[in-house]
Amino acid sequence: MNWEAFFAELPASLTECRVLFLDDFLNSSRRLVFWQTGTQNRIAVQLLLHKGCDQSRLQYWMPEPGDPPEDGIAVVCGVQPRSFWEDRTLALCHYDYPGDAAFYASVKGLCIQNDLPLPTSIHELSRGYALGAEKIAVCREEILRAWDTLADEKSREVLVELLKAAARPYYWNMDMHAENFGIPDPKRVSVLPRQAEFPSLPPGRILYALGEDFDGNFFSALPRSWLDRMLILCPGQTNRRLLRGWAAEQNVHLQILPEMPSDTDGYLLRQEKMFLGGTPLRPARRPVVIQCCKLDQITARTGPVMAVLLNLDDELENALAGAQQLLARRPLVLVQGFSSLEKAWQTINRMRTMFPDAGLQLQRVCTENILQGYFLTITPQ
Amino acid sequence: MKRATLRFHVYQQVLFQLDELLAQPGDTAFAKEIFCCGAKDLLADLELIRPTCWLEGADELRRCVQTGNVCPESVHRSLLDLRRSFCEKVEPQVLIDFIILRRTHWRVCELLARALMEEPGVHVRIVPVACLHELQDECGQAMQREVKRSGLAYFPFEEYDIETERPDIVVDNMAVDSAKEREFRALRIGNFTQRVVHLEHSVLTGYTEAMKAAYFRVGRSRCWQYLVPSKLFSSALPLIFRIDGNYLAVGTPEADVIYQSQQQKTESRQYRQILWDLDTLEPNRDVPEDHARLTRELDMIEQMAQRHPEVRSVVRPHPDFYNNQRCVPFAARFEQILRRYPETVTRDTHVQIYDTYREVDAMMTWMTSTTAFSFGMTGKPFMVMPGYVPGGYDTIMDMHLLHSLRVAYTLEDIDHFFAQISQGKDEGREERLRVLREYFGPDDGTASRTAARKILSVYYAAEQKGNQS
Repeated sequence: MNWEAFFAELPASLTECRVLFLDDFLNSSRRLVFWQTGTQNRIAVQLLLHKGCDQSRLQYWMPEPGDPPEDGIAVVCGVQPRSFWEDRTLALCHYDYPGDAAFYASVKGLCIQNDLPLPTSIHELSRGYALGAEKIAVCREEILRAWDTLADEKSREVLVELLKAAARPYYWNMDMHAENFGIPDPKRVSVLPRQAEFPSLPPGRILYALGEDFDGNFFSALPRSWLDRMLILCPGQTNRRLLRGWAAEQNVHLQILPEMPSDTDGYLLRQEKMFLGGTPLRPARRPVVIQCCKLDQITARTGPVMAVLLNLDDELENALAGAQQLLARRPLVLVQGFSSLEKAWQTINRMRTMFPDAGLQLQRVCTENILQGYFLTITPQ
Repeated sequence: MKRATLRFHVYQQVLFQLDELLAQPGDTAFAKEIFCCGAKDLLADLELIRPTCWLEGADELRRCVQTGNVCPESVHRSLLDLRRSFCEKVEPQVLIDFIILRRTHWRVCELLARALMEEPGVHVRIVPVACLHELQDECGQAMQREVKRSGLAYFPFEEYDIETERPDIVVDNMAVDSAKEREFRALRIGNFTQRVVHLEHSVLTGYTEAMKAAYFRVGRSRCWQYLVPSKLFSSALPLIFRIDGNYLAVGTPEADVIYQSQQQKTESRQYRQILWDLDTLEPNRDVPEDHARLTRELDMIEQMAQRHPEVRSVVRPHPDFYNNQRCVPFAARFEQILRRYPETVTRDTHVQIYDTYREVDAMMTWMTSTTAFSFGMTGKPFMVMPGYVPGGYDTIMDMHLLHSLRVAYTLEDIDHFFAQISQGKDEGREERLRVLREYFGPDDGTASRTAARKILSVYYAAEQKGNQS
């Protein structure tokens, strides 16, 4: 793999762009000042309110000539006059920025011309790249380490495919001058007619901890022999409902417990969040009480476990911390679901630290030629 | 006697869960845990009918689960009571929610909604969304009024929560599945409902948009059913666009709207009318040729007004034409033409384009516009104007169709077309209609009913198949 060439070919809009992470903004007390009430700004406000942002922190600004600037992070749609930009943290809340190459280039040109820094992009309010794609350039060493740590060539290819797909802007970045008039070429993007190859397992119970992202298509891809002996830990009621609906449709009998694997036993107050197309949308809902339990505790009740599937995202490390006895028995561990791109290489590296002798394989799940996601298999040596 | 209705898929799910719980042995502590989790979820599902229906055994089961006292005999008894009571008092009803984007889309959706309502065991609700960028629609208010007037069940968009509503089928005319409209991603339809029927007001636009957005949506790149007008569409579309899904090739409700509209009488006029389809610009970016073709169209309207004062041009701007800041110079130019030729150029004031179709004698539209398809079904003559992109024509039509149409390559072509219209001539009518019917399927006013029956039969078959496999 020619990594030099890969990093050199990354689009400038990915490598140069500054990013304001929405969680950082939500956890601060700063304000967002939206320049004018354009449609995109109204949509942005709507999404921020969905995410639980206080309305008083969001403000539309309709300045008259000569008006003094407002305090806060200024958010604009399109390119505004220099007077508006100076001495301010500017986030270009434009859906096409930085994903649209032409638009990005025009903003960049204007900035250079006026000797101004490039504006910041609020990733969740912009479009063009997969969530976390902007970290490809800055996390070079981590990516290379993850690539090295994977057990076989096939897994390494999968990681490269994942990175390449994330570094390609979405459709709105169509190059109308290209031969294909902007219609993506399936051969160059990540949808390949390759089915997931799940490892074969000896008889025994399989534990599946399902966090926040239920996907019926992934369940459909799982071998039937796995489903019959699977115990599913699914703390979210909505996901449980979807899971039971799926089971009724498929006529599959599933054993489900409403607990979340963690490093302690007890209860946790948690805001439910849902993922949509790579962008976490957190509707303003009441937090729910989640029952937490160590995986060791659960296996003490259920008996021996042959394999553990974990789709837990942020809770992964806590779950593994509460599974010391279980892991000591060396079951097969499958980690699934990377809601943000950087989680892919971060998880590989962390798993290598936790399981220094294990073989790590990255695989992809496709059903009917549609990419459903990736999972990392940790095979005990 | 049946007293309460429950969503079809929830009804099936409840029965499945009841049977599962009845079969579950509850003697070990672990089995009791699994049982309690299942019973709690079952009771949560039954909350959907709780205010209207009291079920024997439910309270007993709830008490057992809450106290953790899962005595096999009493639980089994209460489950049997609950199952019997559930089957007696509850009946399944297919709940279909229509998510509708624009007032101009309403007529097409209404026909399909009414056709579905006529089928037994179906309840239809209309959710008109507050379309933020469509200011002339009063942010969805005008659409709401129209839905309420129609007598169909209306559900306010602001209160719509897919998790609570849990419809069996969603009919989507705005590519909800592919989240074409960013503001409606908050509805999260695709996350919770697998059964999405994709219906666009004009068939091709939807596919273009859906394709673009769906391509990158990992795991959610398809609808359950795409309602397409003919087998030609169902075989050609997957080749052209990356759409993975099932196709109902049974005709389009839009054909029925046009059929019904053409049945109504029009006032006799002394003059001929030609409809111009005035497009809008992309709101945020420069698309090659976008400005040029709009300029060209306005030039042509003016030229024809001068050359053919006997033919009246009725101009219908795109719904976004007056909302789009980039279109302001074009809007000013258009107003100027209207003032200069008040007798020959008028603005179309109908909400529904189909009413305009009925009143005009011919149409001038774009190779890229789906109105060519829908207007073509009226049987009236029309001409398409070509747009250009680097490398060739920008068109949604294939050569098979283009060969049967008139194309406005030069001003003389349009001049000739106008002359023919003023004389009441229509060249190549038979061939044009023959080709258009290949695309649109039957145009006898039965498409909505056929589509409704097909949607339901596929739905029932899918549910049954799942439970039998």
